[in-house]
Amino acid sequence: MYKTDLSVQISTLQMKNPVMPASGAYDYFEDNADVFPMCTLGAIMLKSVHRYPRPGNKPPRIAEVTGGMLNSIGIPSIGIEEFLNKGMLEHYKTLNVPVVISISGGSPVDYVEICKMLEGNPFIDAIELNLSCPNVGTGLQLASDEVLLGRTVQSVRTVTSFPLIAKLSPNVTDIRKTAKISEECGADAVTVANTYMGMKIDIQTKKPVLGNIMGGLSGPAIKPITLHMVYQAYSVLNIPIIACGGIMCASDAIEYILAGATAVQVGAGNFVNPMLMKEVIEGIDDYLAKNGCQSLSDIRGIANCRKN
Amino acid sequence: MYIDSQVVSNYEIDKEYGRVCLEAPEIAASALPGQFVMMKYWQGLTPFFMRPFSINSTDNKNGTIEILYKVVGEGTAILKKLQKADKVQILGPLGNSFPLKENFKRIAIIGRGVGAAPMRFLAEYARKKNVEAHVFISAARPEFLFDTTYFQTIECQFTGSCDDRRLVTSYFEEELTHTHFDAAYVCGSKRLIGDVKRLMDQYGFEGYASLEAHMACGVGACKGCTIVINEEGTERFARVCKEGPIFPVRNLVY
Repeated sequence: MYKTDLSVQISTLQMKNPVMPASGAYDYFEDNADVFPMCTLGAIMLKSVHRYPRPGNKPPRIAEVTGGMLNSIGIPSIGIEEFLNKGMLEHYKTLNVPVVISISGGSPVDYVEICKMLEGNPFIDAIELNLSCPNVGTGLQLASDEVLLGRTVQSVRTVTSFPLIAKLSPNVTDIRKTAKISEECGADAVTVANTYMGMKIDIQTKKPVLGNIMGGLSGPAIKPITLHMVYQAYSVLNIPIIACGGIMCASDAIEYILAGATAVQVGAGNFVNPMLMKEVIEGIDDYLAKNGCQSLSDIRGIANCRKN
Repeated sequence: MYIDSQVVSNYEIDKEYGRVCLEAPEIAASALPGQFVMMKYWQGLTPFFMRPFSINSTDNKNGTIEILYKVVGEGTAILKKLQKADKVQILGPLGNSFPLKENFKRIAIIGRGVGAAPMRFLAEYARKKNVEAHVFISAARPEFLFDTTYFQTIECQFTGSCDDRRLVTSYFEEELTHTHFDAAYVCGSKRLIGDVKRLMDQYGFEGYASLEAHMACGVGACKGCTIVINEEGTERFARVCKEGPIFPVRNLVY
């Protein structure tokens, strides 16, 4: 069905193409949009499931800004126990595409407990650790603290046999350090990156627009910054990178692949164009074909002069 | 569904108000009163989000839907400038709809200004089911009493008011003193919805409100458009786009 070989592999996670939603940006369980078949995607990424039930942040939770959006959703979640009891994963699996569950917690122990509960689950194919949501608690992110990050990834690694993806925070001084720590502690891949902390103030009310005061910036405004981070991370890593940040068209995704990404996630772009992920898949295929390439490995990382 | 549509007409009601008719046969055929659509009708990424609009009316024969709008910001300012044959992407129909229960014999439909946008579709639906519909609309000026002729054509009892000293619900209250209503449907300010709640407590009828919110996805995925609702004493967040945009007035928390 594709003109070229778009398949990618991340540990044992096999995807027929490199495109998946960013966690929280496309919840197929609700599936009323009915825009294109879910099996079109390389994988499905679930909204983060928290260790314990959480209501999420108080509204307003979103704000439109130049070049994108701010969100402070705050991971509303029914908690992992109810999530598993409700048979949610069985439903996702019927969509006939690999399922990646995103999980979140307040401490390394939370992640370990969730992974123990998920071990051997036949309905998931990989786990993404959301170590970088800027919208919970004080905004402290596990992925911004090298010690906590390492400890979390390491402890989770000992209790799960699923492919483990560490979703990193861009709110760090040097992404290469946190990427490398993730690799050394046993991650099978890293997602680069989550949203950037930001805020918006209403000059009429003279107050922050978001109920949570600050939120995460996403959308096309962040793409050049995240692209550079993918480029940097690729220069030091031996594990695959999943790029996530401001993809609004196929060429954005191709830039990420040229910088070294194995797969890509689409977040805010889905809200602007519900067909975007399908268009990105087709656009990558066209690009490879037009450039005489047979597979993604022909272009992955070739823009990267720093790779040893 | 997500469709490539085009503008059939964009009629200017006033400097601030307009009514745009869009080619959307599948949506016209499947939409229910109270549902909304997300629309993008500009090139490029500014504004960023698609914009939500309630459906004012559908025309199954011509395969069109109509949106009644007021220019309030960047998105509606662009909408006002659209011309015949301009391209529009539409996602919808979305959200729940006004519940019109089998046992409802007489209903009240209440709105103010452009807040009455979804009410025409509801009135049409009710009249087709032979439900008696009393429509109470207020506006700043007579020309902003939208759909007046239509409401009268389909034999709704119509009360239009431009009296700023009176809340539109006061006309409804006058009727309530001698007439029983099974339900009231309201679209407008918190003040208006709050007053319907007061009348519900006093006269005993069901109340439903159509809410609007800033939305990113419109389909329940991003969980960005939440409000607080109270269900049997328990407060929780609900998404305007998914659990709404129609909520029982009793569940709203202000």
